[in-house]
Amino acid sequence: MWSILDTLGASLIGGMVLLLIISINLQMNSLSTEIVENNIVQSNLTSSTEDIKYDFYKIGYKVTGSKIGTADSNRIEFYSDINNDDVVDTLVYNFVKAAIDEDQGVINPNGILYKSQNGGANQLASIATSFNLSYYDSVGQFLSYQSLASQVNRNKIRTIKIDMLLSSNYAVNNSLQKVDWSSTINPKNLR
Amino acid sequence: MGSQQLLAIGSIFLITMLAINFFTSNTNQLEVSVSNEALISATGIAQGMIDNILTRAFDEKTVSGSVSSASSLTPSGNLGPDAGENNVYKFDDIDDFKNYSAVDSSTRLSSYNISVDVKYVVNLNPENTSFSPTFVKRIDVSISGQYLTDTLTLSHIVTY
Repeated sequence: MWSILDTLGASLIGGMVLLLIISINLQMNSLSTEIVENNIVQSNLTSSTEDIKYDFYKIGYKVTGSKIGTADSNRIEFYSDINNDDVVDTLVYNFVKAAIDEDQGVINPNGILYKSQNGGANQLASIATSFNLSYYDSVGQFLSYQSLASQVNRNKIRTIKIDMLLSSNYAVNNSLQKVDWSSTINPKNLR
Repeated sequence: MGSQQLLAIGSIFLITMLAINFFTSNTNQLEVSVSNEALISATGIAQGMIDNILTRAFDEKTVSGSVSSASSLTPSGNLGPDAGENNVYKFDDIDDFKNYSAVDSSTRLSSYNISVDVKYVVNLNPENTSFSPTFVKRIDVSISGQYLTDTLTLSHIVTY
């Protein structure tokens, strides 16, 4: 009788241990995925912002006329001799909200930041959830996007602030891993 | 209580220890991730600040002219905003930013406190402060914030 009770009690406890192991395993998986996704987003951010900063710092390099052709919240067209070959290039950065690709299982409504040079094909500059540009004049006054429709006002731009938010492509525990980046750029050739 | 039950209870203890270790380790990793994000944001803010400072002249005496001797520059004790320069947009030279402080709350994670120091440094040894004017100034931008494990300081050397 005692032996049966011992076996039953041990089976009960063993069952609890098994449930505990399954629960820990599930949480281990989701936490590890969360950390990996977060690292991927951080890594993507640092690599893509390096290229963006490089181009923005060179706005107006070796340009004698107007240096910025379009200035909007999510689109900028500027001129610069980006390759240093004495030919002025036209660069466009344009952020477009991407459609949700359910076939790929992507649940994050990411957007795509495109870059094109001299009217060429759009190239992927970065995948971002949001991308916003703000423009300031020499006294730090914010220039409204409406006013920047005029070239006279675009010539007043001295500082460009970039705000970018990157998210993971997949949600872990119903939340996306996010990293934001903000940088204020004062291109030398806009001074 | 039988021997099998004792063994089963022992296994619960072992699993509990394993779970505690696992969650401690994961919490540490999450803290590192948050700290990394804070570091990325803070570095961007500090670089932007340095970039902003670099749009100014080297010294008040070089705003509209040139200087051939270091002794003609602003004395080290007078570094800081000059008369009438009561806001950052009126700063016209690098050392106007000495002791400048601001708060940046534009990022998602938290707000960051920015403080700036500008000093003369020894020409060939920019680690050492010079108490007399030289043609080399060092800008130190320090950022602190809730999720930063320590104050982040970026330095930039400017020469005339």
